[in-house]
Amino acid sequence: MKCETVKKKIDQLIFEESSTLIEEVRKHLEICEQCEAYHQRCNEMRKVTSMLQKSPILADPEKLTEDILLAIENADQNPAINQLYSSEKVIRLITKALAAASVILVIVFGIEQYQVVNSVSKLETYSSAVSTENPYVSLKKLVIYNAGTNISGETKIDEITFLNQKKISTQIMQARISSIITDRENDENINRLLAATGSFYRINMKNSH
Amino acid sequence: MRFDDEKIIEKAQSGDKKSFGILVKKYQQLAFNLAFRILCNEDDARDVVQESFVKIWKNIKNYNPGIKFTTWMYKIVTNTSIDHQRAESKKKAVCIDNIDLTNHLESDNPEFIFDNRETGQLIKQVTETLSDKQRLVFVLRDLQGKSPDEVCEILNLSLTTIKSNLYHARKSVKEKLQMIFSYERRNV
Repeated sequence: MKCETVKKKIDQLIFEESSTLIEEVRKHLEICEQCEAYHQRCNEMRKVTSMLQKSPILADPEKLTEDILLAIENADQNPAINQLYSSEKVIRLITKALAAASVILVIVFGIEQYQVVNSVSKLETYSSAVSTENPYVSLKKLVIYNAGTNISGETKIDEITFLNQKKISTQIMQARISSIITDRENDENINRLLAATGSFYRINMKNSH
Repeated sequence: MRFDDEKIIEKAQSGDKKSFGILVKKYQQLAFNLAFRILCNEDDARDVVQESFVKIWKNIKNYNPGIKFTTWMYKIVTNTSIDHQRAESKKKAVCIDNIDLTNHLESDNPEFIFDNRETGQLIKQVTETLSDKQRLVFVLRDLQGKSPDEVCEILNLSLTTIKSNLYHARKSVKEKLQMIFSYERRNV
């Protein structure tokens, strides 16, 4: 018998209580020092695994039985509470659903944020490039970065539509556009400007006062 | 399953708590052994045994007498232990203290004697590098002494998966034991 085969047989001894060495292995061990040394080492390990295979001590088993029966009694008395609060599966399911909803919200909100930021940047670039001499356009006046600027007849945006006809739905996005466009007098010009930037289609505004 | 067990379970299924109490008394040690070997902690194991028996009571009507009661119980204890372990690992970082085998190696006593704390630490130490699946297979097969078929039933895994996981688990545990022994020898 080869040493490798003998060692595999010896390995079984470490974990299987019932396993014993067959005669052929025993004979090999008598003539092979290396395998015999391996056998001794495995025997030591066997002592440890056999100790781990012994039952752990259950202290005060009567108390455990009592606790279990009491817990059953409580569970029977409060089935609704148990169903609601101790159902870990439901809690886990809700947690997962909330996490998924958060991810979806971040993606949807992120896409819209990107579209608006991108379009607003184009709007800003375009407006700064256009001459201010044209009294009808007066584009630079349209772009005011500070939304807190006190302007009489404050402009409130009702609806913003992208070129692809998609409407900006979130108020926070509308507020960002509002921070740029604040001049009620230039309604028409704003929409001309928007079309020219190739980003927005239309902005409908109403005077909040 | 023995005849008297069948009767007791039938009574428990009809809502007889006294009969269920007999089942608890009879099988709580087995449930504790498994929970302890998975969790490596006495208090956690007691909590899991309690929780498992509450689940068993709630679902006793769904118990299929076609499978052994202990197999069904082990399945519930295993799942409850895993859930408990996940919840606990979120709360606290697990610290593994290496067990000192020096005294045992020096002793002529043919059998090592460990208390629960030492046993728990040693199981944790030798199984720490195993995957969850490997650890469960190792605990059920080599520490609980369950047959491969029963391990398949408890873990809902195929025999091939069980054998493969057991092979890798044993290999890793053996390496760990070798490391422990070589370290202890240096210190003897």
